[in-house]
Amino acid sequence: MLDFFYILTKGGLVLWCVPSSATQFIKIVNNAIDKAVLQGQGSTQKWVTPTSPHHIHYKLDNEFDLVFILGYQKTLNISYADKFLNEIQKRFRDQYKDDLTIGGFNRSFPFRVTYENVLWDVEHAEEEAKKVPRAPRSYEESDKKRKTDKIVTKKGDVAIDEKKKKKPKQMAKSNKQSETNVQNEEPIEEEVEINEEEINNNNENVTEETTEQSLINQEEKDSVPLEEIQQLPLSIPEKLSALGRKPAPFSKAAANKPSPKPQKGGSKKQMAPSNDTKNDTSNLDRSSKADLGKLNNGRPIINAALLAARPEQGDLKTMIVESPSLTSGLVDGFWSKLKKVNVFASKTLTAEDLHAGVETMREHLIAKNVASDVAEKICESVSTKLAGKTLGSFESLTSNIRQAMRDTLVMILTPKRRIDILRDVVDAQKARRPYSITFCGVNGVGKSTNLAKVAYWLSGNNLRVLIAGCDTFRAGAIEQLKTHVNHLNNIFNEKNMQMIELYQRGYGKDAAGIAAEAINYAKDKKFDVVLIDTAGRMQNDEPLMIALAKLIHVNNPDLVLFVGEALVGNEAVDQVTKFNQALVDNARLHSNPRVIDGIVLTKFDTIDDKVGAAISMTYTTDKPIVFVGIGQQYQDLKTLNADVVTEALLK
Amino acid sequence: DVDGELLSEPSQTFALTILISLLVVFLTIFILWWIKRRPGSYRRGECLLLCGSSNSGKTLLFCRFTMGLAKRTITSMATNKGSMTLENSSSDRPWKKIHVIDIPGNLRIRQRDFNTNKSSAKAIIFVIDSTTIKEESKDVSDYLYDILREKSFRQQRLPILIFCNKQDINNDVETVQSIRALLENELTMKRKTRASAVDVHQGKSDAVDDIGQLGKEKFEFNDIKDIQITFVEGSALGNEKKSFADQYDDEADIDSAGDETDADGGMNLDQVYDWITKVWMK
Repeated sequence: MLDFFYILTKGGLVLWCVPSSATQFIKIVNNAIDKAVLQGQGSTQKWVTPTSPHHIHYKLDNEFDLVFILGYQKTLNISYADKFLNEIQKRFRDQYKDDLTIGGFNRSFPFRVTYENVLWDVEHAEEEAKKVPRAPRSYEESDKKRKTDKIVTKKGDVAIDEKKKKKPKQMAKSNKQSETNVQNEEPIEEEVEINEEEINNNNENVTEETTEQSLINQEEKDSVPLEEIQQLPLSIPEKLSALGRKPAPFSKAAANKPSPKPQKGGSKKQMAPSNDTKNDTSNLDRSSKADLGKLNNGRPIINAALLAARPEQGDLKTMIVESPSLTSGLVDGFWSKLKKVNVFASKTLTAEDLHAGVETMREHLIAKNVASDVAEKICESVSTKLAGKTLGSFESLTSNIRQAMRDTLVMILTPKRRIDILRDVVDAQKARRPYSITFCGVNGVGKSTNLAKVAYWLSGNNLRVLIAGCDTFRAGAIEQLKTHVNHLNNIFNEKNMQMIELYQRGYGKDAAGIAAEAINYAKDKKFDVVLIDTAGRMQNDEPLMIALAKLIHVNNPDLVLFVGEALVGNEAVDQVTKFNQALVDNARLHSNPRVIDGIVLTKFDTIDDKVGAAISMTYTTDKPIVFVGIGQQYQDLKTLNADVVTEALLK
Repeated sequence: DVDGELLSEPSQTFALTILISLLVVFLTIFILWWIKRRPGSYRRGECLLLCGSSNSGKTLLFCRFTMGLAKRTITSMATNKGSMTLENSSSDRPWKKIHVIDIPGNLRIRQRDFNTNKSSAKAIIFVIDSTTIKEESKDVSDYLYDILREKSFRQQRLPILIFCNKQDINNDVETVQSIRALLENELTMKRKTRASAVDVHQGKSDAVDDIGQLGKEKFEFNDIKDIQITFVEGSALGNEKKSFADQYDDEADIDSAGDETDADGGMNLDQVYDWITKVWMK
């Protein structure tokens, strides 16, 4: 059963809601709107709340500027949510079309009866669908026959041995089952289970759910569901692609078994084949085995299309919107605008209309160094925003897409919470403790250089800075910091005492311990800020990530900055995700694990307008870019200008 | 030749009519395009802007103004535009129509929407949630600082009403004086830190002089001469809590505990209406 259902205007008025009185859901709805709708991260129109146990589905109505949003408990398995939203949207529009067109929101909407009818219909349709595939299948269609065929045709022992070697841990149980190959009931039962799951899956996949969503959900059931961490759709595909490369009969037999994890909700459990190539996905396609008329193509194979359609190098392809003879670029002049627009008819945008334009935008973003999955999601959210919108006369499709894209990008780059370091330092001074900032990142991104720039800026504001040399690994790290400290002290030599000092204990020692001592030292000597430099480390280097997590959780710095270079491409997403995840996983006893608080984007002067890394990183972490490094001198430190970056991206 | 002349005349007029009709059509299209180019933007300086951080009560205030009732509200995703009528029996013009624009408080869209609408502002109501002002003082003062620094506002001597909302909630709520002192403190610090913040990369550095008196250490609202600031308190919800029930058709579900607030002691919008009347009826 649904916990709540709201019909809202985009301006924030609640037109109708169920239950009418409860205020406990208002917070959840506010949260969902904040994150999913505004950020454009709700591209799949589904959202799992981190704080309360709800799944939230929403649907935007762009014609009348409405939002339909519903929520239900995580433990339930309501597969008809999307269907219900579509249906109820239609009914609401039909019923109140006149009022909605004139914007008459001050009336009351007696919608209860229609709502209950639709809910009843949809629920019963669901139950009917569930009842259908109960008939057991004949021997010819069962898995056992197929398996026995395969085993007989292949060399039996070889197949079994290969299974043993290459199977990942999760499939261990099913491995044994396939070896024995004796049970008759097992395959049939599992078949039925799979069918149920598949119906649920397919019903949910009616609209825009990508395969990644199911992976995200599975991953969330594994680990602590935390707020801004876009959990790894990437680590599981690594395992899955290993799965995909196995010999065909093996993968087919293996894929038949559901995951042995405890089935809570029942759905979204399967190892969805997201990043497999086209060949392997056909093997894993279970819709052929299921004996149901309703199912169509299984899950949408989005990523295969992505891999195939890499943009070419060179000039941007012109956007093909209305008539192919016009050479319309992304920039419209007055005449071309006039020629292309619908002068007299007002057209409603459908998905096909948007598809070509949005595709071009996506390739354009990828050409500008935005990570490919991020570009994908952004384009989906733009389609969602524009779907169903009425195109007034004299508005062209390209200008609409462009505007929506610009809005989304500016929203992504605008921080959710402003980070004002100088203001926070004042607070820390009042509390008589130093304000500590940690710089972390992979190798060679410019941590030490930008740390020196920040020290220069802070000293220029009359703050006493202590630099903690916690990079005890790289040769010359301490000497480099010593040189910076000498330079800066020469520049800021007004007062008698040193503005900047270096706290170091040489090489080879424990970084977390040095950081702790440095902070204590700073407190004693009344330093205002402590800047902690760490060694660069690859995001998948477990022991080093554990060490970093220990440093951060033991010392609890006020600000954890991730330093990333602007040259990075798709790696950016992987880096920040893995760093965040490592910090969360290794939090040990701390109840509130720290994650990255902000991003420093370095080497910004080396990219001309391929500024996509900024988008990738902010989109993935949802944290702001605090500093931008634009050169190798002390003064080359700026903050991000969202408009300039967006214009550069859209050029 | 007579025939030649007779033939050429109609063809000339024919050509002329074609030309004129084409011109007319083109002109109409051009005019329509020009009008459509600025959809929904009001004339300069005619509107009342409602600004404030998230969850301060702007949309509810908008409902009270434009529709006369209180609807349940959620975080706004887009601006609300409407109009209210102001009745004033004592002046020669009995009632006036005022356009109201409600700008969402969410940090991500606030900037864009504010910039789009600031040119049509005649007066601004800055709404503050009195119950959470202590925790949110930094964000609120950030926003207020940006508004006070706007060059166009200072030039037109725009009146700003700082409305301390939610005074009807009974637990300890900040009074107007304490809010004013809090904001002055924050803005003092903000002046210092903003000046020394790292520059925006390729940003337009507008040499706007700072708010308040330059020489003075502490910022006070009285120092601002070119923008008229008034502080009032009140509650957008106040009297009207019952109207929630009327808007939703389920009397059975109405459960007044927790949704509405306790009885107010005159916490309402009277002071706000007075201020609006003063500004518009000048």
